[in-house]
Amino acid sequence: MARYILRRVIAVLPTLFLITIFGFLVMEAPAGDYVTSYIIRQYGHGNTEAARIEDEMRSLLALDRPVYERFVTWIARFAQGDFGDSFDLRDSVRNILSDRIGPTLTISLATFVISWSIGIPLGVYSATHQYSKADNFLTTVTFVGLGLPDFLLALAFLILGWQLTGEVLTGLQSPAFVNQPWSLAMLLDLLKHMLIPVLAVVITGTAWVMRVMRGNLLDQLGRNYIVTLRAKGVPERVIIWKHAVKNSLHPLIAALGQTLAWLINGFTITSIVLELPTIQTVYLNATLQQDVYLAGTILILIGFLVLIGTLLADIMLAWMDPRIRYE
Amino acid sequence: MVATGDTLPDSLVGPDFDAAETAVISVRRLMWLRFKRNRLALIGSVVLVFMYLAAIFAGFIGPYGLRETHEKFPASPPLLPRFVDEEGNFSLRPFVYAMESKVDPATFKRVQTPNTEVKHYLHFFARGTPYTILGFIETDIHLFHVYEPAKVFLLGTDKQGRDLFSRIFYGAQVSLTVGLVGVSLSLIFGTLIGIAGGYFGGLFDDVSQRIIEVLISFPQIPLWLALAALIPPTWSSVQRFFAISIVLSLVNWGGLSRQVRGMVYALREEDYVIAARYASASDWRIITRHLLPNTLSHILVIATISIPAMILGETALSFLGLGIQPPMTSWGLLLNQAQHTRVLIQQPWLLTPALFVVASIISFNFLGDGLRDAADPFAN
Amino acid sequence: MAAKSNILEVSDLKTHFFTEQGVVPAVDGVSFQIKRGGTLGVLGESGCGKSVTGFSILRLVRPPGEIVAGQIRYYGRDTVNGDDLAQIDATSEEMRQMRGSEIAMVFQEPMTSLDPLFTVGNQIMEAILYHQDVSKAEARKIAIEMLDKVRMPQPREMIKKYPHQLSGGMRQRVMIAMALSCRPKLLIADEPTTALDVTTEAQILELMRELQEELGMAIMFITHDLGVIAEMAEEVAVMYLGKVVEQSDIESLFTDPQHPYTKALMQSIPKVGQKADGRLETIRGMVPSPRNIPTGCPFHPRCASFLQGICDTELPQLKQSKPGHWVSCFLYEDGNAGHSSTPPPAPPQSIGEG
Ligand SMILES: Nc1ncnc2c1ncn2[C@@H]1O[C@H](COP(=O)(O)OP(=O)(O)OP(=O)(O)O)[C@@H](O)[C@H]1O
Ligand code: SF4
Ligand SMILES: [Mg+2]
Repeated sequence: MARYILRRVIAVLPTLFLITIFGFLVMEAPAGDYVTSYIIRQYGHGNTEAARIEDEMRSLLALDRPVYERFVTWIARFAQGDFGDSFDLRDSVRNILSDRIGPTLTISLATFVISWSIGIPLGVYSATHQYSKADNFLTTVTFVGLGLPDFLLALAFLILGWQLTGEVLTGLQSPAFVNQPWSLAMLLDLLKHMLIPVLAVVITGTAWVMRVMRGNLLDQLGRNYIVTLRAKGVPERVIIWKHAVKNSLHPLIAALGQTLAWLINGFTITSIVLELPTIQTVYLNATLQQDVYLAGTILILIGFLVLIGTLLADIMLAWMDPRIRYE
Repeated sequence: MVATGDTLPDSLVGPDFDAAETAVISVRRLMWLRFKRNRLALIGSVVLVFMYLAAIFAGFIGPYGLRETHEKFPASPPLLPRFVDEEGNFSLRPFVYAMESKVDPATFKRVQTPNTEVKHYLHFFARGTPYTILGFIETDIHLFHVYEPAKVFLLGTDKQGRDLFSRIFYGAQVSLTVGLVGVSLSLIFGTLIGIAGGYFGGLFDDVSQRIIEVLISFPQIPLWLALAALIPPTWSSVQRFFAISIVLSLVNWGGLSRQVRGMVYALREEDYVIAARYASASDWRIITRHLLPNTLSHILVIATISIPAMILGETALSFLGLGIQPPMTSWGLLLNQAQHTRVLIQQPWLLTPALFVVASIISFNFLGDGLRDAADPFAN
Repeated sequence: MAAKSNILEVSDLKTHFFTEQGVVPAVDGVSFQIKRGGTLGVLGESGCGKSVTGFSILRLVRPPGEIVAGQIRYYGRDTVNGDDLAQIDATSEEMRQMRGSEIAMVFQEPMTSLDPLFTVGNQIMEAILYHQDVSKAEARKIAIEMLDKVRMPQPREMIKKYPHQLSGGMRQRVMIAMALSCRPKLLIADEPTTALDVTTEAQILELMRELQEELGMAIMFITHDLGVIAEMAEEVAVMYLGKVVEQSDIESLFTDPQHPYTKALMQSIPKVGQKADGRLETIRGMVPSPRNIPTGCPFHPRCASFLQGICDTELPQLKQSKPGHWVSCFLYEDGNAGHSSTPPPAPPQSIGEG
């Protein structure tokens, strides 16, 4: 098992390097650079003076150096844990990310836990009551849920929230609580603000988990070994939860691998719409403004998490499934 | 004891029973029967037929043109036709009151008040703004219309005073086709690579599989954003439309290709393909005569199932301002104005294009599911 | 009466599947008896409803399938009146208790009949723990004993193996060990050797005979292989399209087959020196689909002795044609017995102790 893991980790390294180069190139590829887009924005705000400092700014940010040189310098520092600075936010990428990882994970973990803990039992119920009224109802609801993009739901909830409470529930805190010490009222305020993003994302997420669970469980329930279990007098409850569900977790565990990266890039658009202080929000802005080190770092981080997640999923599958373990 | 109505004639039971021919007919029939029985899939297809018709006849359905602005009515809430007038009299023919803009003496704000003295009746199949259908039929007949100075805005207007109801159908033209174009591109790319990989195997297969693996596991939205940012801002609105389709298909082809490859892998070992190979048929002939036809219905199912992701992708990109650009419009672009919370809560009607997005995604999901069940009757 | 000498009496059992394309009468009026400790062979072509009959007895038929008529009298618990299994709720605790401990089943497909995620030891122990009041350690001991009984080499090591690590023959031994671990009074063996090679098949069949002798259980042996039937069974029920068309003891069936279908089966047996494969390919025509069962006698489109005007309109009933020999064919009704229009086939030479 240990050798299996080691082999997988070593296999991941070249891919990671490729993703790093790819991430940087994609950020660099659009015409112009951060300075160009900065000046255009300044024009938009009526500041026509900005164009004068164009060259000065470019050399200050080292954007006048060739791409490969900047890449090598950056990657060398990257290896030492220094991800460079954001042009736009005037802060180190490391600080920006560490400020935002807390809120990001709070929302994503909450939605993840809720949608899986609702989706799995509902999926199992649906599959074990195939073609019943409840199953038909749940399947239809799942379909509708899968068709509801989270950011559009978030917008609808915003309107609804405003009409019900008269508050615009964007961000994670009401202005009154900013920079205040923790208190019960503050916690309640946080929960209130989390309600919209969590609800919006949970609906699609639950629908997805439910559908996968139902489909796979139905597939497993039709297998021969289920008949064997019934024929030897094992109670139905045990057949479902101990045998069939365990066998149908395969695709969900594979999906669990992708969840790791999802934790910091899921619901990107919802984050923007709701002005959440998350990594997703800065990623979009950094992409739009060609804030290369910030956007590049996040893209590489996502790639890294994808690979780690896949690796963890493979290990979990091997741990669960003897057919993989003794390949 | 005969269960179904149609008993096989005895001649069919004998040795001269042509099993193969009967099987082909009954598989097709079975597919249709199964599809027809799936109520949700039927509802989905009906909704989609209406949506595509509405997109084609966008100019006819909407009372105003795509770029027609009503300067006096920026961000106007819906102005709906009414059947009952101020005095409570019922009129079977719908009408509207013209709005007059006045300055409120107390607050000094401009307010719109209806002039209840004159009723402006709705005219059906009336002449209005000229438009073209499918790019070549020029006409100016609208489903309904009301003459100036009265206005009818079923879904309100945006901040430039453009009628949202009319624009939604023009937006449908883009939103409903970007998915089809994108899926066709993915299909061509994915099918070629999938069939090649599945049929030839070897190094080509290995390399393409590795690439697909990374592509599939990589989250879509960052890829969309990164690729959409590559589109030069100077491109025209039509060029952008195709560029967006390409971006969407670049992110999407991997999954499709993988499924096609799986099917070809299985088919490759089938007797008739092996037979064709022994008969030294060329690879090209085997692929076009045997593999493609046999994977076609499955490929179409997979394509249908991937359309919703494309629609959603276009909506998301345009919503963020990275997708379709004016003068074209799309549902995502129409929603772009709703991005700012303060605007949205003042003008909640700006969110109505979302209903169309959701309806089309759900309908495609229903349709795709019905087709999959129909194409694979022995799936469960 | 005779009830006590039989462990199971099935009468007029009908199990239908209510599918989207119509009703499939997979089992449509099946009757037979199994003697205590005896072996009934159930013979028939693929799709004639053998497995569904077996599943019906254990009440394992799931929707859209349903037992629509008939009795399944089991005399294992109450030897006087018996229990009608067809009347017990399939999902009840009572039925669950019976499965595995009173009646057990071994399946057609050893490769897929075990849960891939659990060791075989775990799966055998599971069967024991749900029926016997023993500790885990004791269950483990029983599991090892059973594996030893089915001649698994190194049973102590084997219980730690996962199904995918075993060959088909080994897995079928595990299945048999599992089925016998609670000492059932009736074992339903559904083509237990079809998926195995000839050598393994012979070993498994011998094993089953020995175990039957040792444990004294009755076996319902389902197969489409005449050679296997001759080797295993004392009584034979021949099925065609969801019905038993003939039942008798093995001697009488092989020396004096009566139903034209059985006769045709006998003629399809290869001669001495050839492998007794018994595949039933030489019968004219093909089996009609159970969705489109012919009117009258279901065998009439393929029958060589077909009586115009009777066989295609009326349904023959299973009747005793001579002591201990039942047949459902118009040739044997109203004193017609024996006067068939085809000459009786030559007695089989190669099967039996072959
Ligand atoms: N779940 C089901 N739904 C519909 N029809 C079914 C179902 N299960 C079995 N049948 C039908 O019942 C008939 C009898 O099936 P069964 O499995 O009993 O055949 P069999 O005699 O065991 O054949 P084999 O030798 O191939 O195992 C088949 O024609 C099959 O189509
Ligand atoms: S009843 Fe008639 S058709 Fe049926 S087996 Fe007997 S002779 Fe043949
Ligand atoms: Mg069977």
